Amino acid sequence: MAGVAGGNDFQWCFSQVKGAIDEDVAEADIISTVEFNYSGELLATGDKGGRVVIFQHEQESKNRPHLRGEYNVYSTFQSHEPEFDYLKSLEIEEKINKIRWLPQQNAAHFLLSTNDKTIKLWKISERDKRAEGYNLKDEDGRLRDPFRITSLRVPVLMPMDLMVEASPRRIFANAHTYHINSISVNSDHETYLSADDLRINLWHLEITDRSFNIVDIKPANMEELTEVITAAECHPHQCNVFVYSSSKGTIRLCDMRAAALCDRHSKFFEEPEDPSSRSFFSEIISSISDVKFSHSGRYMMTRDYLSVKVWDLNMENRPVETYQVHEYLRSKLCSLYENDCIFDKFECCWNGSDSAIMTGSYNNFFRMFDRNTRRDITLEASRESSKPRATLKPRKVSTGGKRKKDEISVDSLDFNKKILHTAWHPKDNVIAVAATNNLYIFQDKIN
Amino acid sequence: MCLNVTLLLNRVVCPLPQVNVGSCLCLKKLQDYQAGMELSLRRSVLLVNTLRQIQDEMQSDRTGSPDLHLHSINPDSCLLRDDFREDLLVTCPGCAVGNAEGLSPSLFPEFPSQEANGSSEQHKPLSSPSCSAVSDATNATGYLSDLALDDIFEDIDTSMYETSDLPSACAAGSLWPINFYSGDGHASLSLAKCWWHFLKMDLFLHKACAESSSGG
Repeated sequence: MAGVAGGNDFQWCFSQVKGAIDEDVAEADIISTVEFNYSGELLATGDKGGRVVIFQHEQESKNRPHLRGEYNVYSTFQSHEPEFDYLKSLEIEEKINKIRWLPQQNAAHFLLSTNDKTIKLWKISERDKRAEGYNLKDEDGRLRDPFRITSLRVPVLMPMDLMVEASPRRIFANAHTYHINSISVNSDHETYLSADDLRINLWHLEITDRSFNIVDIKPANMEELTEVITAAECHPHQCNVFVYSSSKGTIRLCDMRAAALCDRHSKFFEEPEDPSSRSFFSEIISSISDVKFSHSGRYMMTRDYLSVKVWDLNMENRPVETYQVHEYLRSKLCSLYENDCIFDKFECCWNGSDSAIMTGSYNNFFRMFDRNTRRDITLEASRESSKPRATLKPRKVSTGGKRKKDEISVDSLDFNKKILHTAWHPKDNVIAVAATNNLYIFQDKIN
Repeated sequence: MCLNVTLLLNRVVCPLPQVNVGSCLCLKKLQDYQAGMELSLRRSVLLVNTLRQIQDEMQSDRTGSPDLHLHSINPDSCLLRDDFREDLLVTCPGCAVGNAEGLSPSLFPEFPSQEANGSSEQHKPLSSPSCSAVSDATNATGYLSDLALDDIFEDIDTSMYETSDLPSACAAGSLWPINFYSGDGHASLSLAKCWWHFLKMDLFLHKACAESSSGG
């Protein structure tokens, strides 16, 4: 892929929007995670109500040739329910914090979903046939009286309407004292890691009653706690390597071959702080909210409050690329602190070829950066431009001085409309952007 | 009344206006957090670290260190100054900003140590809440040089205000809510004590505000 937008490359255009149009948004409907599967055929969303909705890509229709194929609801299920921890007197929210797909091994699809405490492995499978003619039970499932069975018959499979079933296959519970912020399936396809604020555990996908604690940063005295784990991810190719980011803006790369407990990192990525830009909020805004390896495994990307950085795994002292996401907010940090926005956790994602990255901002804006041309673009997920195949107009925020036409001033940005979760199709230029309770799908339009 | 208290707290606790705004905001957020509004360890760690930073600034100020880097090329300082009145409103809902004009430090005879340690100049900013950061910092350097924070707060009688709405962890002198299991009980660090005093003061402020607003 050549670029993120404009010029000779391509433009982004609206494809679909999912979710209610209502102004009144139910808390439970707010999307809390978005994830494509490995092929891009399926797209899963999780919400604050504990539900998982899976969309399936449908091929071009002959009736509507202008559409390259849409994502339609494939399966919806309640993944997590609200719970109460009686020992700690704490409510456990049903909100889905993360969804991760497993590589497809057979006709069924598997995904991991997690709330604050419990990870579940779900199997999503199709059924279009059912067995008829059982000997011991009748057609509606009731057991037959054995004395009335006088002859044996062979059950037969009869075709039926396609049904998609989601069934919980494994429940990985009781291993996290703090809130789970990340899950990541390992490249061995057998294990995965889960990270909370202070610990990282390594699980086998088949074993639910034990996990290995591979990182523990909890101090003996909690009052000495100054740092928490904010995100963690397995390397896409080396199953012994994983990274985790911290609230102090640092990233640690660990090698599981070195020791069973990876408290000692192999690499430590940190950019020295610029003293001239130091403020009260320095630590808060440097806290990393997301870390993602590139598909190639050579780079990783981190998102902090104002910027997104690309690190070469071979260079620890500074990122190779830094992109400002919304630098104009630096002068607004005090208000963003007051309204709590400064604690928002923006995520970030790579495109399929690692040549572009995407992350969210406020006012339903999201940003894309082309790593080759260093061009960037701000787009908006809005219902106003949601006509089929409508080209997305680049947005611009005026940063002081005279505001030009079509520019939006920093003061008129809506901080309640924020794009925290985005996903990029692993092969095509199709992106999914979660804006509160709506899921927008955009795709490229070749010029 | 609440403005008076806030401003006095401003003078006693934090000679630096930015520091005060920051600490008041942190305290409010921590209190909200402990009331169960938010349950995020990340958020509370970031807030506590910001408080720690503020305390470090205060300590470096008390020791006469010229390293006032919060005042150096800081794009936020201006904002913090500008937002100072706003902060008062946030801290004290229902209070008129106009009250700021009628301040009288004599309303608070509970602070004898202030008299003992401060110069007469120190009272001036009380009547000018939107004070200049630079001049204040200069005036206030070494302001609390001989004054222990614990002593200041022990002079304030908060016994009339119930603390039952604060979690027991808080009452035990810990900043950390009860749901964070430290495993070794609540070690009483001087820093934690200091924060507890901050919290008590903040509660005092809120109660004072509520009283003043209900009493007209």
